[in-house]
Amino acid sequence: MRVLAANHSPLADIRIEKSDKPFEPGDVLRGSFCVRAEHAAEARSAELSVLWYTAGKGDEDFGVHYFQRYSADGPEAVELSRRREFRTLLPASPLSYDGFVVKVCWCARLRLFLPRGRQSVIEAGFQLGRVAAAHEPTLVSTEEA
Amino acid sequence: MGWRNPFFQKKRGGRSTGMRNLAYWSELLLSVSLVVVGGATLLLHIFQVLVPDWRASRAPAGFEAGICEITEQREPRRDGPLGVIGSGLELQASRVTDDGKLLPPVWIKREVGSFSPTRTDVEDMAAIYAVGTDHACWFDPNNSSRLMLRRPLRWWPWPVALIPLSLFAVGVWGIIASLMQVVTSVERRSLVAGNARRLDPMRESSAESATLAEFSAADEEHGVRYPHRLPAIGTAGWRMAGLMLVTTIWNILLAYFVYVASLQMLRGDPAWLVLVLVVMLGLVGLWLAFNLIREFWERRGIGQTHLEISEHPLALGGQYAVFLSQTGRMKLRRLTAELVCEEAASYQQGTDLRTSVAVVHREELGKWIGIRVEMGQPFEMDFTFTVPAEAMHSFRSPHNEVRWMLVVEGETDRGQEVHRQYSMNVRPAIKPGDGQQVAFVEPSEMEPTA
Repeated sequence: MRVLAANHSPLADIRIEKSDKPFEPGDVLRGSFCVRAEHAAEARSAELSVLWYTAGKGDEDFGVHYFQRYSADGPEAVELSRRREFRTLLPASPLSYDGFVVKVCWCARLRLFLPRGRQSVIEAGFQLGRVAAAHEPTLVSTEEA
Repeated sequence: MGWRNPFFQKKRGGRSTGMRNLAYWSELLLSVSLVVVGGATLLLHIFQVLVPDWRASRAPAGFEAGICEITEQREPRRDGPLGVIGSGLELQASRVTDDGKLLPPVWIKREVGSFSPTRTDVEDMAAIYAVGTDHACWFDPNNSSRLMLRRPLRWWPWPVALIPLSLFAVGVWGIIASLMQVVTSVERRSLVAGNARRLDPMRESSAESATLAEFSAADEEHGVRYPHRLPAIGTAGWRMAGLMLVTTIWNILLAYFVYVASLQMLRGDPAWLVLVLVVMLGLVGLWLAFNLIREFWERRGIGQTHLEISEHPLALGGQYAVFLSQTGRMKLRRLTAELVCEEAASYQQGTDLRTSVAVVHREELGKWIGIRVEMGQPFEMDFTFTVPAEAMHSFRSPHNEVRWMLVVEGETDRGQEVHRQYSMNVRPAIKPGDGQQVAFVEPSEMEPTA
């Protein structure tokens, strides 16, 4: 598995396959995550999201495209130390964008819920679409009528 | 729901700073305060105003029903704010005993004609409770000086109860929201909100991403040359209508104060506070009127600009034909049409909400000089343009926006500026599985890590 977008932390790691190239809308995003065995007992639950968020000058907005919650307790308890795969069909918009004051970023985010209300977040970013980065506009004059 | 307390969470350039915990606790404290203040005020209002009013309008406790005769009226004059004289009505009544005798008269404390803003109301009430007329009343059998006319139920304390009630509701909602911050993650709350939005039957294409500006074919205006007429953004007409409304309201207020001040002057008792107010309001009124006249003067002869387009919404990389029509009666030194894309980001800085705008694409589509526009002979022109294939599509989220527009600018030989913007909806070129935003695939378990 070729992995470029990966975020390793002492607690867990999250990976996205083939993220060296931009994804196109409609592509299937594949990835996996796991909580490191030595911290698995500490994590109460984990939430995996595929989401976009805005960066830049404005206040942050975000939208969740894919969401899955895993709990270490209860009737649907899972073993968080096992590597888990996630897959989702990417939407048509919003496309990743690197503008002057507006930036749109996509990522897979793993949120771990730890004892005493603590949380830990690990992200792996990827690019959706091939929107060119914004550049200073130059006005090209047309022929005068 | 984001952190709303601007004192502890600030946006500085591209990053947020502040003390998240302090922001959380201060917001929770604010919500609890609202619940306490709203709840206490609501209880006081219920038990000290609403319940006594309700009882007084029915049979008062300890009182018995009887008949009273009005024996005298008086109209106390009360000084209101700014020297305006208030009107009121007080009634003196005698209870008529069973054998037809009149008991000693009593001035009724909670009179029927309680404070009234107009003299007409008092006169109406005085006519109903004319001297010598009999009315139903309530009396205290143990104290002959306690007498009350049956009062109609007052309506205004009931809507007033909405004020503490809304404070209480906002506080309760704030506490729930604050607790939600701790119990659930922002992603989970966003997902719930997104699902609710998709279920909204009022949203025309509920399966579409919420970040694409909403487009309704039903709201589209049809053109003459091409199927779609582009909507103008923030037309000058609206600005002028707003200015006219403000100027009118302001000057009506001014006229009222001039009237009050004149009355005071005629009585030989000038109210200096009113005079000072009249002068201040008058200066602002003059300034508003001057701006309105100037706006009219600058717009004279400039007609409407219409843009019609061959297709809408647009797609990245698509080519489109546009028909431009400029009406009015003027001579234009120049007129240009441009394709513009701009980013807008709004952010909280301290207690201010600021918006930063950056133009990221500007392309001149046409430039015409020395145009004469006559009544019934508009200037008309066709041109085409292509939306750059690698540009960003239209995007809108609560604090960030990427918007595409056609901008028409010009200058008349009288030096008047023409600046009009027409919004366009640019969609991403590829639409996989239209109507299907999310495809969930059950995750499979793999080998455990070492």
